Amino acid sequence: MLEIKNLHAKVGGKEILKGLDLSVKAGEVHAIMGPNGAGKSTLGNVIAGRDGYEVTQGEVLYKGQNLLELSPEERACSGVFLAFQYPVEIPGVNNTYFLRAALNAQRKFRGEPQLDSMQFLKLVREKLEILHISDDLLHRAVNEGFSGGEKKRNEIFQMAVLGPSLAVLDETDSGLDIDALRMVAEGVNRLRSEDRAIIVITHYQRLLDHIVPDFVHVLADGRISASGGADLAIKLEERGYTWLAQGGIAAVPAPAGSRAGA
Amino acid sequence: MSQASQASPASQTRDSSSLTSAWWQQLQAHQANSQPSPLDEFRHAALDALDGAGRLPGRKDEHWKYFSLQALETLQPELNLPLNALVTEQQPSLLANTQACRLALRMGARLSPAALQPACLPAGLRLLGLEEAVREEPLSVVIRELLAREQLQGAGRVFQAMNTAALGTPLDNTMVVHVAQGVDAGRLQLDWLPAQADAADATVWLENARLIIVLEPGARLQLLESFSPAESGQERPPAILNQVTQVQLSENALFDHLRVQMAGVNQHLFLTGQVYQGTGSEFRYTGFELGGGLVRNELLCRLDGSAARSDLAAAFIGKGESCVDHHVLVDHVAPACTSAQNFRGVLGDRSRGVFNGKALIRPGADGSSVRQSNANLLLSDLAEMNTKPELEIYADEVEASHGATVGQLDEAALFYLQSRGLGEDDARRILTGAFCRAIGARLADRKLVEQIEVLLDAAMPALAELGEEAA
Repeated sequence: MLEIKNLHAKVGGKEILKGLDLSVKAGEVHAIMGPNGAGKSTLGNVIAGRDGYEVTQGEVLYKGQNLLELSPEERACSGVFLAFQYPVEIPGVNNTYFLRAALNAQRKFRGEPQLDSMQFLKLVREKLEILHISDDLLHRAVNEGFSGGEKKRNEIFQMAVLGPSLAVLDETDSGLDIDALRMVAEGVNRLRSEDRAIIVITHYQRLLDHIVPDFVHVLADGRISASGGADLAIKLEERGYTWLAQGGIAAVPAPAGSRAGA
Repeated sequence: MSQASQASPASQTRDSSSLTSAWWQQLQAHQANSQPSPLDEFRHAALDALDGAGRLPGRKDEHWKYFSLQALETLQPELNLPLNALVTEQQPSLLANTQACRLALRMGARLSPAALQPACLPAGLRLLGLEEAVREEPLSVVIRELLAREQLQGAGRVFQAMNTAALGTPLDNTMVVHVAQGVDAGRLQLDWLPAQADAADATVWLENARLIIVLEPGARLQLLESFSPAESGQERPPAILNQVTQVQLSENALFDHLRVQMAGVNQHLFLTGQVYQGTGSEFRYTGFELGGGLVRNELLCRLDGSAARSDLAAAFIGKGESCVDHHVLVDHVAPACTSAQNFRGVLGDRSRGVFNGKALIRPGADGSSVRQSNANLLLSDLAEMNTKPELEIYADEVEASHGATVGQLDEAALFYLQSRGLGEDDARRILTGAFCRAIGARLADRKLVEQIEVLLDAAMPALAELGEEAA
């Protein structure tokens, strides 16, 4: 699904990613953890194609295709989804209108027929139910006046409607209380499937109690410094990132099936 | 007869344009033939103010610095409006299914008396010609007061002076709207249609139109006013509408004015609105200036009675070479009044926008509350916005806020939409539309809001070209 090789990226002239390798297969959930400033969000933004993130070296292959050549909308239409760390408020744009326009843009790109309002509403109602979201969210402007929890849930709701092949969840747990966290995690778990890969970027292990990953990677100073199974997250939570920096990495063998950090 | 009105075309001031000469000659001709009328004193005052042919305001006139009339100077318009027998013909309107009593008015045609008696008029709402209204007591007192309050001196007032100088002549098109005490008159819709479609007719029309609206105590009226574009594919000669709207709101009256304008590039609109508000009255103005070549909208709200409210909002779109200018003055005379100005502009291509909004809080207008905001989006490097929000406060315990912004689309929002699969052009179009839709959102009627959103989308400057320019 996703092959990242020796990725170097600059933001505002400063090198943030310094040779990152990561391989993600369909059906897998990968967690990327790491201290502040390690480059976690940069990775998400590079994958989504945000302006101002300059790739200086390396490659990103998505379904065998050079992802970096595509515009943000082409990436989205090909099935890449980024759940934003800070979802943007867009006053005056109705949530339903926006989501239908986006879904239909993606369907058009893929040569699929457009959904009319009735078909779209049916789809939306199904997804709302899965995520336990009230439909009053549909009638509001995109993220405008939403609480932190509502914004994050709206991201997962968009993911449910758009049905991406590769989803990157950028600190979807930040700013959530325990109940909201559980609800968001439950939504994500329901979206796990054999033909979908999910990358969960997070600071804390607590999200991974709810979304149990297949692989955990530690991103430090612009590259993957350690990889392991779900238990790596627990060890990190106990011992902190400094433990890794002091050689703890050797205690964690890279799991079979992942070339990351090799 | 005043000295000014005796001036011959030969004695015109040096810098008068062919436009003002044409006005002057036609005004003169009617001056010579006219019968004595109760409106003479106002007409003569206006002719005096014009002092000869009058002069179009130019860049040296403070309030016209950013609004060039050069494109009009060489026009030789026809002011004699033929009487239009067909004004109530069913023409498609920009606003459909409004449940309103509707009048269709053709530009370049005078209202026929029959048009003032449409079957749909509710009890308590009357439409009258000016001559008829000024012979009726006590309505004439209100109308004479409104006319007496006009400021006609100086080059900046030349459009209003020309309009007033034509009062009561065939060059004038005035309609008086009267709502009786305590009556909720519902909705009245005025649809301005482009001048008659006749390919051979190259007449440049200059129409002096005037609306005088009088709401008695506790009366309510919603006015929907629309200006339709010429049918597509038709090259039209230029047309100028010089419209004065004068409103007297008695205590606790409510006047809600929605204006939607999608005039063609050859249609130029000069609008002067003057609203005088009594105690506890409310004026709501929601404007959509979505077309036109030169569009000048001057609005004065004078809060004469305490606890009156004035809530003004407009969205305007400039494209091509158009210029849209709002000059707004809210004059707080009485205490405890509330006013709001919320104007939003989107300017593409080489268009220009002007917002000059002022709130004046006079001594004694204590406890006033004033909000003022002007936000603008520039979609092209060649578009220009001149904004000047002003507050002048001479009273105590005044709550006031004001601000203006000129900027581009929010890059974060743009990326957010693109990251969901929307192309850059679509994303820009959606965000730009949303910026203006915020003005439409204040209308309570969902059906109207939806129609306006469609018009806004249709009026947006071509974004594909702008994208290239911006790159």
